[in-house]
Amino acid sequence: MSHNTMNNRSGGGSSDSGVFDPLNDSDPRIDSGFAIPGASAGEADLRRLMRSRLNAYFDAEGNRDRVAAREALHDLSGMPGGSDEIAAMRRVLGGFDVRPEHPDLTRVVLAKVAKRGTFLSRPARRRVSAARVLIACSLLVVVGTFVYIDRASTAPVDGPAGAISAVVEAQRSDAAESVRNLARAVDSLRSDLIEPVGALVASDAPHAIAKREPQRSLAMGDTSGYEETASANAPTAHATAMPMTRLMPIIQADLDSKRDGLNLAGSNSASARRSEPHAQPAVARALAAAEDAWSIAPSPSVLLDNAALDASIRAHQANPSDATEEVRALRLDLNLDLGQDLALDAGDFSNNGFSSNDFSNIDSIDNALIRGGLLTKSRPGSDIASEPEIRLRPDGSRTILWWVFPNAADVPK
Amino acid sequence: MAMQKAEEQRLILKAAAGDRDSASALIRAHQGSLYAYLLRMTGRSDIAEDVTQEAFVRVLTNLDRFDPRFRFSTWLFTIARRLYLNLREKKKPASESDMLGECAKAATQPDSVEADDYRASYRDTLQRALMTLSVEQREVVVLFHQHDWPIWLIAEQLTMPEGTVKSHLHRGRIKLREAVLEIAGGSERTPTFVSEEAWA
Repeated sequence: MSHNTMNNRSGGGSSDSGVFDPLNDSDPRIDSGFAIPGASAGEADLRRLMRSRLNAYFDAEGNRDRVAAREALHDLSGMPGGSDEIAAMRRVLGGFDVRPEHPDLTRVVLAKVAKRGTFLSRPARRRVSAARVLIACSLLVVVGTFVYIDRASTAPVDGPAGAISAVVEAQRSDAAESVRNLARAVDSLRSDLIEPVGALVASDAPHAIAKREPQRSLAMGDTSGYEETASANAPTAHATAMPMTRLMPIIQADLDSKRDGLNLAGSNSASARRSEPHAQPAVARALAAAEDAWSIAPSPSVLLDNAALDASIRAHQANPSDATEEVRALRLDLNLDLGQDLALDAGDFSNNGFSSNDFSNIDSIDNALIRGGLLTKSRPGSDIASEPEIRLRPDGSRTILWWVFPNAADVPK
Repeated sequence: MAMQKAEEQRLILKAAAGDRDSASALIRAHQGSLYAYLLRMTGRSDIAEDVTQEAFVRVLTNLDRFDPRFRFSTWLFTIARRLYLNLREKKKPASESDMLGECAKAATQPDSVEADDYRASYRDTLQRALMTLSVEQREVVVLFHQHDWPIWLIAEQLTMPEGTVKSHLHRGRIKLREAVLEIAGGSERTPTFVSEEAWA
């Protein structure tokens, strides 16, 4: 590069083309290390030009471009202090000529590489590779075998998958939903327990049963304390739950047993009853089966609405027929005191001519039911036999019916 | 240790075939320059040694992948540079103040510096001046002036245009000179490089 060129550049610090040349032009964004505070604009331009030529010189030197290096050196030598700048920069860059001492890493590197099997011969490496493949395959087979055995030995989960899913879903349900489910279950139990008593209506057709709405609900015990909202005159379809409410579903479950059959206890004709003279009423068997449940409430008893029963009996006595008669009010109460109430009942029965029913020795629920009349098949000294029947309604609810047979002679004793 | 390309290729082939001596020759031929490069870049001899080792291990265990059309040293430096950058990323300083304190201590306690390799590196004026540069400037300056790599090769290695390489080179060179003058002049000011390059 000639001096003329250098002089041309000194004006603006850019190349001849006017485009910034990073190789030859200075970067105005960089503070010049050579800037002299208070220097004039011309001096600053000169410094900038000197820096540019300095870079050009060392670039050319590094690239081994002797021609360019010579030109840059020539330019710099014409500038004041140019040679000193070259010498100073050369001293700085000369530090790179001295390589720092380094440790010999050969052994360490080779040891690490040898661990990876790099220095084995080709046949040996093939053998190693084959051995590795074999080991890997063996491990795979072993693991697979264990997995297979583990799966084969695992017993399948009992129950349908849907049940499991339901359990899982139940776990996910929130507490509020659980409470609602529980409330629904309790309501269902209540409705089962307090179904109204079905009523039999005498009809012309033998054994025909006509149902009427009961005048009173079949309440388990004294419900007056619980049925605050129930009208005394209106039938109470659903009374408040009684203390014994837990027992009835168990009994009902037994009554639903196919082993016993439906209405086993309640044959509604003399001929039918003769065919099974020793049939124990289903209620008794059901209660006996629910012995554990009864143990929760040790003093159940059965009470009859004696007035209504007595009226029915008298009606039949006045008009004997083979038809069944309605028992207007039958109350099954399992919560009253056993001895006291049954003693009262015994007195009532006695007053009504049923003195042969001795309730003084009631000591079990079976005896209570039998002697209380529910399970009684015949009443000695009377021509009227009665027996309870538990009927299953089409909607699944159950009704206890009280059968009255005017012809007691047909009832086996 | 300079090595002709033909000789280098022969050693590479033999080392790839499992020849330990050829591998040793390759290591000896390049470990000095690689270690120097990494030492200049990191300022830490222990890190430079570790990275150099790992780079050689990786190269020698993957010699079958080497493309003989290229220079072995370029491949080696490429791998070493990646390792260095990865390590640098992992070992960023926990806090700038930690590193400032470390370097200030090193600058004010010359006796202890002699016993510590890490601090000793800062006794090298050039090294300290280098650490004032940005990573790009430092790398370009080191590769150009220490390893004599041409601009085009540096541009290829660093995947940047040649103009950018030149820009980094020019700025880095001027800055390096300023830093050397400042350090050699006994400036009381704490060097600014301490917050730029730090190792946990």
